[in-house]
Amino acid sequence: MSEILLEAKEISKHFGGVKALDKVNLTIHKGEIHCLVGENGCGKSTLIKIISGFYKPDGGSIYFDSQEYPSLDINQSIQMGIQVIYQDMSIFPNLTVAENIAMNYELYNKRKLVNWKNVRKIARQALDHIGINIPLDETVGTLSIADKQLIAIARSILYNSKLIIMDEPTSALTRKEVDKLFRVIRQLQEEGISILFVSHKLDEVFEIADQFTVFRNGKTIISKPAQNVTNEQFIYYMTGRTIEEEYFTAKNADFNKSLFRVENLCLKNGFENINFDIHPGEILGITGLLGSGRTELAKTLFGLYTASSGKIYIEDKEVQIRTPMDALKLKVGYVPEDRLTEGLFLTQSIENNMIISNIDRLKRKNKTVDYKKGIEDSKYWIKSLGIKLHELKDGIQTLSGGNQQKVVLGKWLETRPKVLILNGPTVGVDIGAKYDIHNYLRKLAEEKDMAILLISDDISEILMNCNRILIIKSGHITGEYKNTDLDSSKLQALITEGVG
Amino acid sequence: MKIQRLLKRNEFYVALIIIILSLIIQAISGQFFTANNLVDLTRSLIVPGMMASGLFMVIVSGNIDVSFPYTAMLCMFAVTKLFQVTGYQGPVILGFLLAAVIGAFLGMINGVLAAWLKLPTLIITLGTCTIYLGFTQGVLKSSVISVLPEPMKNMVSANLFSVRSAATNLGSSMHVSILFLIVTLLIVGFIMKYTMLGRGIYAVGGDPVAAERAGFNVAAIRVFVFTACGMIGGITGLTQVTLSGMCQINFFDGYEMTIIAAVVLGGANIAGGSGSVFGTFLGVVLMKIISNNLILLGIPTEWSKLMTGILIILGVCVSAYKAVSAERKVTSNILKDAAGEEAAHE
Amino acid sequence: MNSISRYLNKDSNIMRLLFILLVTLAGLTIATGGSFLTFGQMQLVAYLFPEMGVMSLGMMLAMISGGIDLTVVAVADLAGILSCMLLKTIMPENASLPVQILVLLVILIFGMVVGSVCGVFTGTLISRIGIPAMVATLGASDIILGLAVGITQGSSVNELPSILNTAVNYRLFGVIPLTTIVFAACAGTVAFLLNKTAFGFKIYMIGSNKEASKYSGVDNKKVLTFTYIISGILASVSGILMCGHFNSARSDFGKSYLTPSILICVLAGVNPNGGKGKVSGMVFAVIILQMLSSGFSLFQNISDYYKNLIWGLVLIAVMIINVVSERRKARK
Repeated sequence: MSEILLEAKEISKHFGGVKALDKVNLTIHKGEIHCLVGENGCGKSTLIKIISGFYKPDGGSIYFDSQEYPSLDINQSIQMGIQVIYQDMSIFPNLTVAENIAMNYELYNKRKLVNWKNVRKIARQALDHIGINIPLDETVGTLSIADKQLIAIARSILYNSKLIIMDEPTSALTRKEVDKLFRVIRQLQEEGISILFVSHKLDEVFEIADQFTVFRNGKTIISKPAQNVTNEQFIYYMTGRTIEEEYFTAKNADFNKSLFRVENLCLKNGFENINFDIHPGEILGITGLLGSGRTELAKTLFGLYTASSGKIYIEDKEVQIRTPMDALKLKVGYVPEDRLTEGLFLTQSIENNMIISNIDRLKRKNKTVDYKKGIEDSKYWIKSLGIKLHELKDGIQTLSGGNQQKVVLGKWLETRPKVLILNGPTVGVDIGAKYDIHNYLRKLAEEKDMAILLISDDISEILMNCNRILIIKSGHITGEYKNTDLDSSKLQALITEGVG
Repeated sequence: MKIQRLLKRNEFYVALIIIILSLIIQAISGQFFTANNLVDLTRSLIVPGMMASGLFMVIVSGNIDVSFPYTAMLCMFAVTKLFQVTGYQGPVILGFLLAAVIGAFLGMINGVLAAWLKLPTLIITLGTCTIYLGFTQGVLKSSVISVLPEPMKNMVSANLFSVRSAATNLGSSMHVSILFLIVTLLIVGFIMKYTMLGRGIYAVGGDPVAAERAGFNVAAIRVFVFTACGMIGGITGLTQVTLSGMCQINFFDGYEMTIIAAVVLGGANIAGGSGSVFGTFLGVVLMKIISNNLILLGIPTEWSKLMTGILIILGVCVSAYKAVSAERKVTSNILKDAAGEEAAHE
Repeated sequence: MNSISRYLNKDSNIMRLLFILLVTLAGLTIATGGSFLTFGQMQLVAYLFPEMGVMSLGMMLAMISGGIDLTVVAVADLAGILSCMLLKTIMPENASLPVQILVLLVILIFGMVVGSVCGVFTGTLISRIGIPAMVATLGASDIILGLAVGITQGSSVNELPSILNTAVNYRLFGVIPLTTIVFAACAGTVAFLLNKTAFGFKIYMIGSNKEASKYSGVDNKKVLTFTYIISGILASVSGILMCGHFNSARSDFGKSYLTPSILICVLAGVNPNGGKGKVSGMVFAVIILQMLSSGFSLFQNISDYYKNLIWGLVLIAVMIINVVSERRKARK
């Protein structure tokens, strides 16, 4: 085996009282493609940020080229040849493609002046290197997510890099683009560069990795070559349990009644001719790649975008959802994609976060707010959702990701919705809370006859919890399937390759 | 292709408005394109032009500064007083250096506070500008200095050239300090376009987190833009003295507003990350043409404040409204990808 | 035990402000050799603080909602000028006292209408057109003040009917200035709005996270517009108080109040980034500031100019203290 390039030994990191990393180890050899896998919130991103010098570890040290570093800073890490492509890509939306690609490199070379000819040359070379053609003078803010991802990749290979860390680089890419990316990765490997590839997609790990390491709840679970492992073992490493979840079958659903129906819904640039019908007691899943139109659809159904044509019916009555206020009135709830910016009021108390959507219903006759009733209502949801907290008055920031997500869910359940739309409801949520949320959604469908629309890119989440699954691709629904007819690899294939 | 890109640029439209406006004024009064009017107009651009180029950097970095007119005022009085008290007779350049140092220091205070406290810079600079005003009035005990020290007095009459309009027989002289404006614009333009520092300012204004990850020292960039703005403010203060031959406390009254308006009109995004020095300069030209010709345009001078307000609002209205309506639309076409791919398959 | 410590913790800001108030009072009393702590002085403080206080309440609302309202001064001036002009026009000669009071009420309502129209304007610019609050209010302030300057041509509106001045100087039972009562009424109303109504709750939530409140089904546009309307109304009340105090109206009366009104908010613990702030803190902060202001004027050798210097220094110092103490708390 070749020399060790980077070794992270016994790294620990705390945030407040929360242990994000507990003495984790990671060893990367030269010229190796190493996959770091784990559920959301397992500590992958924290370790990446420590290696890139964004965070200082509380304990342990990093060895790079056999030299020990108790901690790194950002510039040091770049100088050593470590490049990170973050999931949010860290690009500058206000600058051109050429500058986005070349700027970090020029900065790294300690240039003080900008030679625009050189910038364009560097950018052109980088794009040629990975075989992609994007106009150099385009402002990046106007490009698609996939293009942004490719720009971030082009940027990182410019350096005299020894290690490139890619945090979920494929989440926005079509299968074709993934192939292209893998080709680039193998090319880089041949050049002697090590790749740390962070993912939770099993098939990708098997396809590309030499070696993999699994994190769970801030601990290293296992690290071994990628060849000798089965799918089941893998899931066990990742989740810590063998999945005994049953497929949801909507056994109480009333298929004669329509609760939430969408007919020929179109959104300019977003999607076309979307049709579906959710019956009471059903959980309908919609899945597709990032940028496939799934989030746009969710936002349109909740009144955040204005549909260009098409009709929405609730209990067979045509309705207009032009704003979230309309949705609220029509008893349509929406658990958003990005908890931190769209779901939570981080500087406010748990209580305030729970009652915000319901505040108008808490008004007494004299227009004042009955906060006492608000507290009672909140307590009910806290109990039934199993939210662990100290006191309702505490800040929402004191809660874990899973409990925070349950608060967002509880907020919407208190509005007594008939239709509940959830967009990536378990992103960044620990496994325990994830199963709690799934079980609660099933209960809502089965016992309360709710219509639930679950939008997610988490294959197993969709497969297990939705009795019907729609696949969306480039703004079109490309197929409808029963979950019992599919397994995870079939579903994965359907999403990335499309149908027909 | 070239023309399309030109049409996308904000500067093009500002320039277009300037041309149309000057033609209108010429048609009404017949006096716009006279030598002396053009010289007067250029002369009136010096002070606001310099200030705007300093503020431009602050705005691109995603911050705001309302203290620079007060920095200018303080430097103006401090240096003039110092010369008066010491009876200094040497070259005037020392005064400008001094003003630059004091201005840079005052600007640095803003920058350090902004980088450290991470509070809205409007409130921070509102606080410091009150301090600078109080210091000028209280400690320097200044409101008017009508007799300037020798070195400055000499500079007041230092003109590059003079012109006289045949028709009106009005004469105007181009003051030497136009060179300051030109140099400031060139330096700021160079920094913003051709140095990593300048690109860092754009980067911080576009996405501070990404800028930090890229290895920019975000705090240092913040301190730099405020320091530079203060330094330019200081020099501008002294320039104003040599232009008008005296010091007056109300020279820069309301400048924070008009300069912000000019920068925004020139196409800089108030939230940071975009704009150009050339656009900023055009913004100043537009502002000055309007304010110099209010009467010609049939607007009494009492209403000039109203005009700046309307200009600011109009200047930001379009881009703000575009951003708001874009929130309700999908900007990059998801559907097009599908079409493209299908075409590729065939 | 737990509840007591929590109560103290919750109101630690009020305790701190009370402490500052007492220190200020003691300091000024000692510095003036006792002449500050007299009944007359206290009454003067009580008479003067509402002008600044009422305006600051509006600033507070805007800041809680995550914005800022730089138009307060301009609105106060414009409302004062228009109200005074109306007062001069409609007041009949030799009117009886009840008629005079009626006219006064009419112009008060008129002033508030002017304030709310300004509020609708700025509120619309911010919430519907989407201009950042700072730029929108900066520009709107120029427009509103520009109107005030244009209408008066820069001069003052003088020779007002005496009723305005008399009313503003009125003391209930010969002790409590009417201005204090006006402030109490405004503060009470704002406190009621913030603490008891859904509207108030929504202002806090919008200030904490505008995006999340939109996703929670809150009508951000309506709430924000209404916030600036109330701010405008409060500013107009403050403008009329000023006119009564000076017995005239001018377009530059309010000029010196902008920094103090922001200072009061910051001192009161209103977070400039939004989502936090209480009326109780404002009451203490505005009294502290007026005491300092009145205290300074007792010293002959401190010129009025130093006031600016001190306001600015205090504002920066308070921000530093707030930020440092908050960061220390967060680290724990």
